[in-house]
Amino acid sequence: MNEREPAVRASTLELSGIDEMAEYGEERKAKYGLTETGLLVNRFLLGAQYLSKMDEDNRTVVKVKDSFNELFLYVGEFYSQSLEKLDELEQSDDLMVIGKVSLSTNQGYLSKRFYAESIIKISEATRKYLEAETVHNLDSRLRKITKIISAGIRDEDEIAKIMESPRYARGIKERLEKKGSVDIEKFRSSIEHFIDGNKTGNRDVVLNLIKSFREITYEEIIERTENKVGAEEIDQIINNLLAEGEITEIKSGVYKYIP
Amino acid sequence: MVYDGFIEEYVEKLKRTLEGNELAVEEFLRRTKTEKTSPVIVAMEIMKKYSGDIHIFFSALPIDEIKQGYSGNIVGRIGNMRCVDYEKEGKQRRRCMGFLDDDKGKLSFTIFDPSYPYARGDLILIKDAQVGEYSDKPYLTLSGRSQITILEKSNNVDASSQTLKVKDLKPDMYGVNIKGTMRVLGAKENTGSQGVTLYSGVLTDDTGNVGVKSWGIELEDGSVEITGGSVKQYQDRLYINLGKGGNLKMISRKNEIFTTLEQLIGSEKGKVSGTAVITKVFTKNLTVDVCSVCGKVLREMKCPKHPEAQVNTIIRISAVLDDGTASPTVYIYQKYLEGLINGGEETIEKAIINGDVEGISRQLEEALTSKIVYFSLYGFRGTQNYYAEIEELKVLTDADLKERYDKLMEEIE
Repeated sequence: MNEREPAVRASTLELSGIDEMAEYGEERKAKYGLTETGLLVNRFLLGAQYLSKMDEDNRTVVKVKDSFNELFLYVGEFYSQSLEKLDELEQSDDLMVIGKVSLSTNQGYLSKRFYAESIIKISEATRKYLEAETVHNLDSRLRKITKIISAGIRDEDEIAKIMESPRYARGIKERLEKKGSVDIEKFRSSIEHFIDGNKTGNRDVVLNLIKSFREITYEEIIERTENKVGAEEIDQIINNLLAEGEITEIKSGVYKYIP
Repeated sequence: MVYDGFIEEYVEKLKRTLEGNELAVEEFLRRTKTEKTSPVIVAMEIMKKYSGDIHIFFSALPIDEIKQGYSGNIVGRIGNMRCVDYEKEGKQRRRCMGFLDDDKGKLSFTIFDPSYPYARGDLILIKDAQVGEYSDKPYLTLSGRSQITILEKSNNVDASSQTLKVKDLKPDMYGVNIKGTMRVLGAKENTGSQGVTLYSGVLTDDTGNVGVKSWGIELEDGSVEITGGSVKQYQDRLYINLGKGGNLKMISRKNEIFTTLEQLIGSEKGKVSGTAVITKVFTKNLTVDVCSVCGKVLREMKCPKHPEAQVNTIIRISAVLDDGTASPTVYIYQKYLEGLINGGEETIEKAIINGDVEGISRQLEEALTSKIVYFSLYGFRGTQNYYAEIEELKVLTDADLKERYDKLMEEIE
């Protein structure tokens, strides 16, 4: 019996970087997209935001984005019965997308498409959690891959022990065989970008605090955000808010929100 | 006649080997006239009967006297052997490596022959062999064109090309690869001529069980893969013998705690907890009958272990749980579902009594489909499928997810 393919947690960063095709399975070979980090993707789960929808050759194409990139999803047969739900979506609605990678090769060139099996409207908290879970998973894999590359490990069983997953091991072995290495730095820098982009939580805390007062002193901001945000970060946030024109410094060390 | 010359040559060889034993020669001549058996086989049987040295008969040097550069006949029994299939220039090829043994010495060999009709234990004659060298030791390289005659076929069967089930095991198999659950029975130290520890255990798969004796390779409880074993028979029972050239790989230890669904369903038995998305909910056949004492699901309205116990009807659903590493179908029983139904246990009981559980199905589908849950799952490999049952279930709220998001972000940073 064929096992159901898991919906691998993958961001648009990894999905759009699929550049190889791999085939596994005993009776009926399953096709997988191989990402630059050696992740084998057949089905995927993506936390994203809705952007728009369009028609292309009588097929609906949905455009979504996550913290990294935009992604076009062809609406597959699985979802075609519920097409009307797409009309209810508004820009920036939070989504959980379960999709499938479709791959074909023509004269040595790999062509890929992403089909949506289901598009579910979710809360912002759920979408943010899904994105963080995906990046956390990527971060954890990168740490292990670094260890594998630096130790020169190539045996699949050994890789599986480090990755704690035979599936991950298959993909990484395939990647290392085909490309020789994994560009760890590229993905590390994308993770840092993700972290920076999601630090808006503290920015909102400071901005809301300033908004809730007619004017507020620097000392009061420090006092009221104690244990939540560090002093250095507050300095940085205030400078950014001043530069963005969200607040103004009415006199030295006293701030006011600009409506 | 050529045939007569052939027989005469054997007669001369027999006389030389058996020091002119006329009785043996007469028996050889009689049998070759009356039996259809090949003369060389008859000669072999006569030599065995009259304790003749086959090296003399076949003008072969005993193996311990063979040196690099030797050119001539070699007689020996095929010892440990392993074959590798490969493709070269579009053709399927096979290379087998092993050694020849004649009780006096061992001579390693490689043979390139895709048809390779030989098995471990076969007694073979190689005519006009040319012995080379490898790692400062005599080494024999043979091909399909080498003149090799099987003098005595062993009953051994090479089983190395596939993974067997317990039901497939036959006496005299070697190169046996098999997977199953190991239960260790004991260990006896300082056994045999090498003074190794002899471990014993029982290997079970979905087709039966078989004893295992392992010489120096430690057995452990859990899911294992044996490679390079041989099958022996003691009285009417078969057992797997694991020794030199064999290996035992631990796939997973018994009752392990795992961190992903992939690890759990790759094991024989274990538990896992974590977060996952419920991608599908199946509410068909929503009710099941269970024993009020042991909770076992009953096919008939009586528990075989507790025939006097009351039979209760409860709800049970199956759902597809996906944590990104695997996507198994799991069972979720009523006690983990009551909190998801308006009115809880009471509403469920009423619905079961009234025979109308459609509303319950709808509520459960809505409450669980596409939701992120925290779960704890117990599972084991059954005879056909993997069985997994939820032991804890909580649909995560936005507040829960926010808390988990902060924790994940902290860990990434």
